[in-house]
Amino acid sequence: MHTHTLNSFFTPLARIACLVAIATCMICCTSHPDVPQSYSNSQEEPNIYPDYKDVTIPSNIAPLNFSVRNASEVVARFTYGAKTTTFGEGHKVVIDQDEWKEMLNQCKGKSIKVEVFAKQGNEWTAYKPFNINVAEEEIDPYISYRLIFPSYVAYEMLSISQRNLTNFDETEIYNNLIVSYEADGQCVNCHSYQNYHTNNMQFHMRQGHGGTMIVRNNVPYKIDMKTDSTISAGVYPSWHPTLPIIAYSTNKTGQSFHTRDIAKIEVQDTQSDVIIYDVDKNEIRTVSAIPNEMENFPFWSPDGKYLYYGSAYFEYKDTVAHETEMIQRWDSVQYSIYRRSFDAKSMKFGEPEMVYDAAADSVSATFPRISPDGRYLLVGIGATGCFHVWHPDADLYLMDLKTKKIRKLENVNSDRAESYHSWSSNGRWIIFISRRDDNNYSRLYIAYFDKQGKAHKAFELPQADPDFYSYFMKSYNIPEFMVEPVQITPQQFAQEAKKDGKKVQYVSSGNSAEVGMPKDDSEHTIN
Amino acid sequence: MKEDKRRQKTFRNEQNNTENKNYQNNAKPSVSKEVARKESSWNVVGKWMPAIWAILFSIVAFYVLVGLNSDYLFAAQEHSLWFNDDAFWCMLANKPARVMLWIGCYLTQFFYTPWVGSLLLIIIWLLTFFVTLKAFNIKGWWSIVALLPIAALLCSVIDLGYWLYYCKVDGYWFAESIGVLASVSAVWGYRFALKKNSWISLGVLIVWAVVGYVLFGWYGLISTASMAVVAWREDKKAALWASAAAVLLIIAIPIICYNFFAQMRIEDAWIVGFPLFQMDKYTSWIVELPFILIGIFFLALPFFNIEKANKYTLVIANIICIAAIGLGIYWDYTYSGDFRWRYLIICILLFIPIAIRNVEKANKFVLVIINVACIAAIGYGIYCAHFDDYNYHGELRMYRAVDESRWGDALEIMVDNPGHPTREMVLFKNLALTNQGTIGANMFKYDNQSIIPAAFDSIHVHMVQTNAPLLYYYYGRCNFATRWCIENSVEYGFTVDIYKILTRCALISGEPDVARKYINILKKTTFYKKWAEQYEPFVNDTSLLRKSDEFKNMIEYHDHFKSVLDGDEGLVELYLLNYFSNTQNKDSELLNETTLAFALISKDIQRFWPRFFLYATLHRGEPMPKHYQEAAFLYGNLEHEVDISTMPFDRDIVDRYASFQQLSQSLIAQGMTVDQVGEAMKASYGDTFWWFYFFCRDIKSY
Repeated sequence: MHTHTLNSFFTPLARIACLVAIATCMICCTSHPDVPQSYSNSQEEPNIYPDYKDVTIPSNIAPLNFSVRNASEVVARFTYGAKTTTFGEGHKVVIDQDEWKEMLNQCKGKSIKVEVFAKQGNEWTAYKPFNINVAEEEIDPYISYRLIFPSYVAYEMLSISQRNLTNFDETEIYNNLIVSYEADGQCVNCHSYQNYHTNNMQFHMRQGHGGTMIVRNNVPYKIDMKTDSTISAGVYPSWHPTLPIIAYSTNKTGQSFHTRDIAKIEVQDTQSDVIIYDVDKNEIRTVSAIPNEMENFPFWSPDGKYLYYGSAYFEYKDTVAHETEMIQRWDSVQYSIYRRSFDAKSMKFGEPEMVYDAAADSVSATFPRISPDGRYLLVGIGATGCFHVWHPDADLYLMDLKTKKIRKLENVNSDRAESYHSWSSNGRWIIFISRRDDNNYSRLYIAYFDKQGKAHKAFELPQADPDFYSYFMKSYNIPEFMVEPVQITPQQFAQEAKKDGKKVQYVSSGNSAEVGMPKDDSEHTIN
Repeated sequence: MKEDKRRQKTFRNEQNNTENKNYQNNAKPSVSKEVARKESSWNVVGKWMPAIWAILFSIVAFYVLVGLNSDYLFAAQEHSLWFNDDAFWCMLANKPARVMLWIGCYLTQFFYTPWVGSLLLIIIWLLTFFVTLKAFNIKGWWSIVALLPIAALLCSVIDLGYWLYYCKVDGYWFAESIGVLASVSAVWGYRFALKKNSWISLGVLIVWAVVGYVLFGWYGLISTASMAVVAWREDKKAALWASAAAVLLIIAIPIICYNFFAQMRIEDAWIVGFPLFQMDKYTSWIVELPFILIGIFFLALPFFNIEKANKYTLVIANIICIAAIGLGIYWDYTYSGDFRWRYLIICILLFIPIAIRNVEKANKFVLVIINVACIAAIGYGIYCAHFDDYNYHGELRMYRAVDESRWGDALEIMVDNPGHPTREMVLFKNLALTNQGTIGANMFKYDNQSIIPAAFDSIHVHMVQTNAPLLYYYYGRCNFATRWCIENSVEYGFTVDIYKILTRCALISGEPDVARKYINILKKTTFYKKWAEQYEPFVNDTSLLRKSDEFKNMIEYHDHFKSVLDGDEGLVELYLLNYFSNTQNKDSELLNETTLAFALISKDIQRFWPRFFLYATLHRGEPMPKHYQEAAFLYGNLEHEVDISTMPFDRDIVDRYASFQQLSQSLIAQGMTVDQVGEAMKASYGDTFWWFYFFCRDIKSY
């Protein structure tokens, strides 16, 4: 059953009253307001939210509903080919889904012209028209993300949800209230799929009933990844594109708080390594644990032959506790991007190869993500640190792996944080989170990435109610594309979550990288 | 002997019966009229009893709510939230009873004007009372028993105390009453249907079990059970089907719904909507007790059906009720570690009516006794349940005054406090004095000895969850204020109070976009639209902030502290104390004075002197506030590290210090302990820094 379906069914008085008026609403949705007969022309662009002016969208995306700020009434005229249609309800433009689909079908590779007429006071104004460009390439029909209050330490009511991008349906994959709360409460994080498919996936649960939920061939079960030989259980995951192997970072993570900086929070690792987990053998091995290096954010290349990761060189002076020293020297931690070759037969990794020496550029590069064609590396870059979602200066950068040249990704960045980026399975779409709306609440943005390697203006994930983001108090993070929805229900996951996790075995990989590997079994929580 | 008494009793009864028959058959007309008149007046009074009880209860409830708890009710609506948008619906957890909580949130807003909210609540209770009479066919003098559920609801509103900050039930103050009203209405509807047709009534039961559970959670289930009991009382033929259906539905519906509502544990499926008061791993049964009693009422009230009562069913009612009471007391004793004898008395008194086995044949004397006992029980129950701790109410009033920057009012509340205040009040007092610019002259005039909040059960009150956001905001530490706003909202839900602080912090931090978000939300509430609109100009033109008197001090603090990574470890007072007493700033008079005041509170001589000299430099030509002089004179005499001989101390300070020393020496010479000396000197010197320095010790922050 769909959450939104339930929502609309079990809504309170106002909504119950609305049920009576559903027919009226439907008529409203399918009716088309007239363009005002008299209006003044303005050369200004309309102040619409979300900003969908001149964006490029996939031909299977849900309607781009928007509202016009400071307007009491609005009519938007959509012209596609020889046809025109109008929409408008109060200050919102809510587009009928069927008509929208028809528009997109007719405009693949073309544009839809949008003219906005807004009423302020008693005056109507026609604003400068804009286009919505429809790309020929479709987008993967599903995404999943974590919904979380922009929390600091406490967590409650957080979920991993999936959204059908072709409409507005959103369902929960799992939430932390279904198993436990209060002192036994869970933190849920870091979902990952194998090659965009959901039959093999995983996510973590921390604290109460903690463990990692593995789904192998659509069968869920819980594992306990804590061992005496690793820093922590697995944290940032990445499924090998074809093999039942998941790469993880293991982290000792802490948080501290900026007294005045609007970044507010600094999430820092004091230790981190990279490991792999063999799902079928239930074994973990160390990939990289070099002394004075903090390896993090592993990500497989699409061919599975390389494991990319970020790593920061940090030598403790040991005059104070490591946590304290990290807080004191927080602005001197900079991650560069490395990769190691992987031989699937021997399960051996090669020596680290520098891919992008971010530290040499005095910046910190995180979350390496390789495009499905293997040509581009997309990274988040900020001045320092590993958790760029809290860094307003963080932007997305693109490296052409052929030329090794890196550039700030055009058209997608803002003066606020961009992070948690991900490629669609066809490589034509990039989804990422941005705090450009208000610097505090992360929202999902999608950008078209054309065959020439150029990104186009990003658009905010459309919602049925265009004002939704204005009142929604949760942040989105870790958006991941999927070609199909997760079939397992939250209740099924809950049943498994309550069981004890299967203990994983640590196997020495014999890599030189294990030398000097630190050991620490403390608990970690990543927001 | 016993045999004789029984014989006499039997004889008297026979005599009475004979007399009654005589009255009926052969009595003289005048005597008959007299008896009839008496019977008639008794019945007339009985007929009016529901109205009398309703009026009396309304008066008492109104007095208790408005007269004694206006401050608390206003705080309740500030610790709740409703706004007119889909997003609010989404913010409520996706589980049954969401409709009940939504309505509860909507109505709780009306405590903005406490008497209006109280009136609404009382109207709901009166409706519940009259519907209860109808639903369970309770009449006349027995109508007193229908007061019990609504009395329990009144208790549930006024017994929260510090759970106000930790209550996770959205719209708690109205939601539960709505649940009870809906449930008794459903039972009434069922009984009505039962009279018409047993199959229709079965349909009503089935539909209600589903709809009631989805809309009202456990109230739907308990009222379904109540319907089955009603069926046994009214129509035994229908009862079998009704009972079978009720049992099946009560078991099955939560299980089925569990698969549709993702944010609910299967273990909680049967009690969803029941207000759970849990903190860490402890449950507060005390504040849950009214709802346990209401559950019992639902099962017991059918036995009061005046037309159907018999001794066997009443015995069953007795057993159910006494078992439930016993269980409640056991829980109470086990989990709170303190035997709540008063609840035992209340419970016993509440169920006296049930002890009367035959409702129909109860005589007038018994009925009067029952009514008196019930009234006494209800009155005592309300008295016991009312959380009337003066510090709690003082804190609520001070919080509101501080929030509205009514510094004089905050200080008046502090003065009027009948005992030692809590740390929260002391902090607010210092904040008010700082904003009035008189902290150096007056901070020790007030009681600085403090006690921890009088939490009555398992809750541990932490200032970060009560007043930290407001304190941090007023001290310009907006990131920390924001942090605790969000932390508390994640745990206990977003509230009007939180949004108000978030809005102001966002403005001071230079984040107008997010301030606009919060303002837009507040504009969608019923009563905070104006409040929000007054801050809108600051969003549109941030330069206005620096011209505003309201933000002047906060901006000055905010501008002058260092931007570093830090943390308060959940202890707001210690953090502020350490931060300010370690800070020194010559660019801001306000910050300098605050650091000096906190240096006094920390009793740290080394920190005091540099801040004192800086204060003297910044306020050259101005009189030195009294407490700073007291501290300088004391420290100068204690350690002789700073030469104070040339400092122009007020004559009064010098003389008073001498007498302070003299008196303390003489009292110590008399063999008094330090505490005894402090107590003895408080009346004369309690308003000095010296007394604070020597005798105000072991301050516990939380």
